[in-house]
Amino acid sequence: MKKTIFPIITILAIVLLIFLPYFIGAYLLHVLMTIFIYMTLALSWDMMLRTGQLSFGVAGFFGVGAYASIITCSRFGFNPLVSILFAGFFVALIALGLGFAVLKLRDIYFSITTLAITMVFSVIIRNIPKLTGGASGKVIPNVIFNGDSAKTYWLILSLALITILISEMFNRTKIHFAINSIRNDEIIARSSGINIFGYLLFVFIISSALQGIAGAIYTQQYGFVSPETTFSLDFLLLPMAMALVGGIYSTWGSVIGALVLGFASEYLKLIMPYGHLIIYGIMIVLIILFLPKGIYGTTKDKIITHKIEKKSLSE
Amino acid sequence: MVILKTINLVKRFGGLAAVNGVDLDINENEILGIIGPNGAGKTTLVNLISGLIYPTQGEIVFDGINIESKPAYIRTKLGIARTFQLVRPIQGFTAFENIVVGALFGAKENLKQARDSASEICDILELKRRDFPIDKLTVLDLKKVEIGRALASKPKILFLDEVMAGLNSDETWQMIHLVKSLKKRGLTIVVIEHVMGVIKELTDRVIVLESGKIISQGLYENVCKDPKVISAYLGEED
Amino acid sequence: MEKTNKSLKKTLIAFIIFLIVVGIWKPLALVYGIQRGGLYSLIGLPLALILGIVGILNLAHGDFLTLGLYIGYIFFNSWSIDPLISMAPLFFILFGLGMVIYSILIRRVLKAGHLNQLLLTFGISMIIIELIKIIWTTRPRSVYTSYASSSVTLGNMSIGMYEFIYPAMAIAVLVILQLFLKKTRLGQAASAVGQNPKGAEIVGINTNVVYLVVFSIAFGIIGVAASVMLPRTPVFPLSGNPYTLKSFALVAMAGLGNLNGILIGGITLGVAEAIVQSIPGYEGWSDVVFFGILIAVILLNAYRRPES
Repeated sequence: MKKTIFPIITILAIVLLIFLPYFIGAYLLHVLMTIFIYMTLALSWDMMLRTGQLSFGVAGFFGVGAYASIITCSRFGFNPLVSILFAGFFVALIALGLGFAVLKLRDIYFSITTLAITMVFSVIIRNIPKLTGGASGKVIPNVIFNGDSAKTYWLILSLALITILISEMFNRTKIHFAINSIRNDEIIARSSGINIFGYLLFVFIISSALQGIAGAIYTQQYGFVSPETTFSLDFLLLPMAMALVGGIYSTWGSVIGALVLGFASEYLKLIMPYGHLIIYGIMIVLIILFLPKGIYGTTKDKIITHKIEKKSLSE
Repeated sequence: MVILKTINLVKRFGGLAAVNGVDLDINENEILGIIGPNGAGKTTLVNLISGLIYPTQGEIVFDGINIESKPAYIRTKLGIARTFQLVRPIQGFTAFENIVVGALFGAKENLKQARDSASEICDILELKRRDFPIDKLTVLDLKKVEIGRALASKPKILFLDEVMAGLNSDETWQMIHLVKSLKKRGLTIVVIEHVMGVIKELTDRVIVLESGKIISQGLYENVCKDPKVISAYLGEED
Repeated sequence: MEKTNKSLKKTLIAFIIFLIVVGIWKPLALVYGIQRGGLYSLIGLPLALILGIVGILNLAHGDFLTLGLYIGYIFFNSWSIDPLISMAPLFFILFGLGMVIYSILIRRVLKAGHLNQLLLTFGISMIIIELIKIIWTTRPRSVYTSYASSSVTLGNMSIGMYEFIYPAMAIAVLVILQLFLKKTRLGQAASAVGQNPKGAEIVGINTNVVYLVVFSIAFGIIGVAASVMLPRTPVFPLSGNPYTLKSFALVAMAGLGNLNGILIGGITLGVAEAIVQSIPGYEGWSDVVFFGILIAVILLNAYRRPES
């Protein structure tokens, strides 16, 4: 019974989400769009984390995607949608190149290098003003779909759904067995026949491309880029906090985390204009200390332990 | 017929030679025992053959091809499997899923085939608590998972590194029985072991390593009488 | 031992030749570079100390520096206490803060793996930045002292005098740290823990006490660095933030546990940065020097490291 109910709920939820612009106001729609962008970032960050590699490069790929889209749009006259796809390919290409260098690194060295790469991206972009507008940034005359918020919402919703789909594929196929083994024990992974570098590169490229596309859509929505705002570390910290709160290594963890923190911070923004992001920092610290598996992970563990206890009793 | 062969295999760590010119022939479908005092280079030898480390010098020939510079995961796909001295199951997976990993990547099967072969292997190993998470298993079960994952990669040759350690005598007998049954299935098996009784019971042939060199080889009974072997073991005790 | 001495000598000679060449080519860049590099070293030392001995990469490093700057600013603004005098209370305030942070947060993740450690300190970094925004808003503040803007003119170059305090303080702190690590019992214990924590525990060293002391001392040094830089640094929520990565760049260059290397690396990077900034039209690229070298060093080490 459970097996037939789950797909039905999923389909109903998707239909509901698609028709949402007809029911809810502009403000709520806007909040949802932001949440879906962050959800995409959180999930793609988590995909890399599932291989055991903590990437601090999210803001970097997000920013490069944003600039790639805006520049192709304004200078080479790309259609906005084409420019978004181009941004994805461009970031994937960069990830491929960088991957050969950085994916040999582990632990803090991988994390720090990805953070440093983010900084290098932003310095480079600041220093080629002819192409990027330099420190003051760049504005395009028209935002995507001429500001039609329903269409923009559908575009962002599709990105989030595609990301969820990819994440679930990662969790339900051979890939899941590969990356989970790599995270837990690289030596065992190697001697079980897993091509570690190959899988790391694959996941790195996919997750970076998603981050690039998210950056491209986000900027097309606002029509504006600048090194300060586009490479803001918020695009790294918020998704990280969301994935942690919901529960890492799972699709639904990031989804739940993005919804919970997204709405919570929206509310906090109203009562606390300065420093409302503190909630993200506090959440990260509390979760690391007291609930390392997050909301979804902890609940799931409880259910599994319960099942095993029942099974042991009946044996 | 020789299935795996090493030619003048050397591995130095800094100035220290852990394996120092080993010429080894492993015949098809035999159970070969490797013994030697602590630090003799047994595990280093297995690491070299399975590809976790690369030799300083020398060749490794498996099934007629040189594999000494091939990465570990390729060697597993070619048919070399191993277990580890300290059992290293993959956390977060059940016993069954651990075995699936071997079938998926070592034997290049798809998910459905891999599940089928894994449950077949669970039957062979008589592994009962297959859906339990790793941390809820007994030592014997963990050892079986370790062997199961290696077997699932459909190897031609299987290295068992101290697979009896930590088992009581009853469990040891079960394990000996199991290894013999694997031989009957056509596998070539190399056993590294400390317990002499196990070596005696299990192996067709024994090689003795000391300070990275083969000092004696042959039948267990003959090797035991070899004065070089006796002095190597006596030397260890004081 | 002899081998490390030899390589140290080689590094030192290369370093001195580098400084002489730059001194002839661009004397102004050399002076600026030494001044700024001294500051980088002073700030980098506590990060190196914690990473080398406690084994934790503190990603909130630069933000504690910011906090130190604000506390120094309060001393100056509310009680007119000169930053160089408030250095003493600042050392103790941050020392105490270090004890608290270690005891209630860091201690819990010592065995939790790098991932959790990095995330925890990242979270702390965010809390400090946002807390500062809440308390003091984002308005920049600064401290004026008459001595900080004094300068001398040599030929056609005008050189700020105050900034020479940076390399001087860096050397002083380094010497005191080395004396502490070599001559005191606690310091020797700390070195032992840094090299082999498990072994140190076996021979009866209380690692928890060592970690607590080292962490607190490192924080005290952050306080010293904050008060030294305060007269010449605008204070805003992100003033200290970039120093986290820069400090890590120094550690990556020097290698874990090599405190002298922090000074050499800091001045080298400071000079390199000053050279890039002295080329007209390329001032903005100076940050790439740091991150570029950081990435290059990490990659080089990774490829040179033999398989384990």
